[in-house]
Amino acid sequence: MTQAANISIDDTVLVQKCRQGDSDAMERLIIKYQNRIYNVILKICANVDDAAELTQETFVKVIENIDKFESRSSFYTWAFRIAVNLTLNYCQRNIKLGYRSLDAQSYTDSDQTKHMLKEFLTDEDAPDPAALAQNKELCQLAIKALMKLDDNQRAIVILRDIEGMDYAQIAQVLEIELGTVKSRLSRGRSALREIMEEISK
Amino acid sequence: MKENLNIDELLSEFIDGQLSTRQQTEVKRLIQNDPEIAKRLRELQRCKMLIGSLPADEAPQSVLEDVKATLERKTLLGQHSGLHSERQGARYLLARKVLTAAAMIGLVAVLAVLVYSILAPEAATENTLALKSWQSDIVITPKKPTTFSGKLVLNTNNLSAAHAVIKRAINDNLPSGQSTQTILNGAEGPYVLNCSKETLAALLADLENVWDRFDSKTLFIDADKTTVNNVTTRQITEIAHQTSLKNRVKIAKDFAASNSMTQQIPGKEVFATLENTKPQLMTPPKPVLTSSEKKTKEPVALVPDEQKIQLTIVLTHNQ
Repeated sequence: MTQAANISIDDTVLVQKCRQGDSDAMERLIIKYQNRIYNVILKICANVDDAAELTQETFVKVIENIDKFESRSSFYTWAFRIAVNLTLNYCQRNIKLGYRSLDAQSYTDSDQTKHMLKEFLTDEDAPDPAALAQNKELCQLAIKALMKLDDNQRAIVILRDIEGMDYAQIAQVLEIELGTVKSRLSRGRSALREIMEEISK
Repeated sequence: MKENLNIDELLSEFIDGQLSTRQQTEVKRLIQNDPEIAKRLRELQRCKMLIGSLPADEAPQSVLEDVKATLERKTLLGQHSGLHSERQGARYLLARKVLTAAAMIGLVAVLAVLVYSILAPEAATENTLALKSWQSDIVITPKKPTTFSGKLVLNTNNLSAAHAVIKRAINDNLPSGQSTQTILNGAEGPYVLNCSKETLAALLADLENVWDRFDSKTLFIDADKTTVNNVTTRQITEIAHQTSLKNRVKIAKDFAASNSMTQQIPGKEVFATLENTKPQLMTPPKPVLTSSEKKTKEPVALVPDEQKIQLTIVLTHNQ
């Protein structure tokens, strides 16, 4: 939250300059958020090329509509709202998106990876997060599980557990009530746990 | 199942630190007392940890340049501002609607003119027939050369002398057959002249010398609807030379008004004398036949219809 607040203060100045036609400010806004937005989009759509295109489209839309940004929410949540809406619309157009994903499709689960996942989920000892990030096979499994989630559940889990947004920010991005955020996130996590349990068998 | 969902929601919020202190205490108590819930919590935490530990992907280096290129392209194509585009679009749609409506109205008008032009002849005939009932003189009468027709009433004390003057003027100017005189109960009646305008002008010129001797000179035209009192020979000639009844009536009314004003101003006699003497001064005297030989009658000349006039001269005795 502190990080988000700091971002908002800087963003206000950049947005103001951008509205006045300052191209440097526009570039700084893009550079500042391009990786985070691209990462969220890629995790939702699971396609590198489409994610790049959607990211580009997001920033074009952001710049084109920057005069409409009313500062009632932060620029950060406003930009992510545009990105997530574009990506979810893209997902709706591609019903078979999960099967189309290169990352999810090209990977074949090995017994060793399945066993690793099962141990990971049930081991009472706390695992090392850095070691987890190094395990590409486990990451591929996690992505595969994510892609099996409903689009809306996947988006909310990614915004919370990958982007690190708080519930209020998620509510602004998805334009839903706070209670809806809690219940949808809970259902998404439960579904993900079941999918992973299923995969690990 | 619903209970599990409620527990999962509680556990999800517990993992995110969204619960109050009291709720957290409650969850901890549940975990300690129920190994199944503890296992569920651990699995949810591991899922969150696994998803959160996925490596962050970096955007392609070309994103910034691609965005700038797209914006430049849209600017060049005039599609930059969404709001602006919407307004332009709205104006364009409105203009299209207005133009469409105008085109429709124009088309209907053209069609109406076409339909009217097809049906008009019959309608026009009906209208003409309808007009006939109240404009019979104008509509029913076929078009033909408008000829002058009038009646000149000359009042005198010396009726026999006046008849002699008129007869001499007719004999001197009109070919035979272009004038008739009716005799009523042995008394001399009016003279009816059917001659050309030039012949009438010559006859009237002959009468100018004696014109003042008539006590009154009144011309009636347009079926006696228009009267010119104290008319002069020149005025009669000018009226007769008009090519349409409308013009004849108009100029006759002007002369009537002018003559009326002349009668009312002092010294009218002088003006009248001057007016009547002018032609005499300008016109060379007419040769007078001195021998006893009678003037040879000119052969009967046919007067073209468009130049034909009819004038009835009535001599009345001043009572």
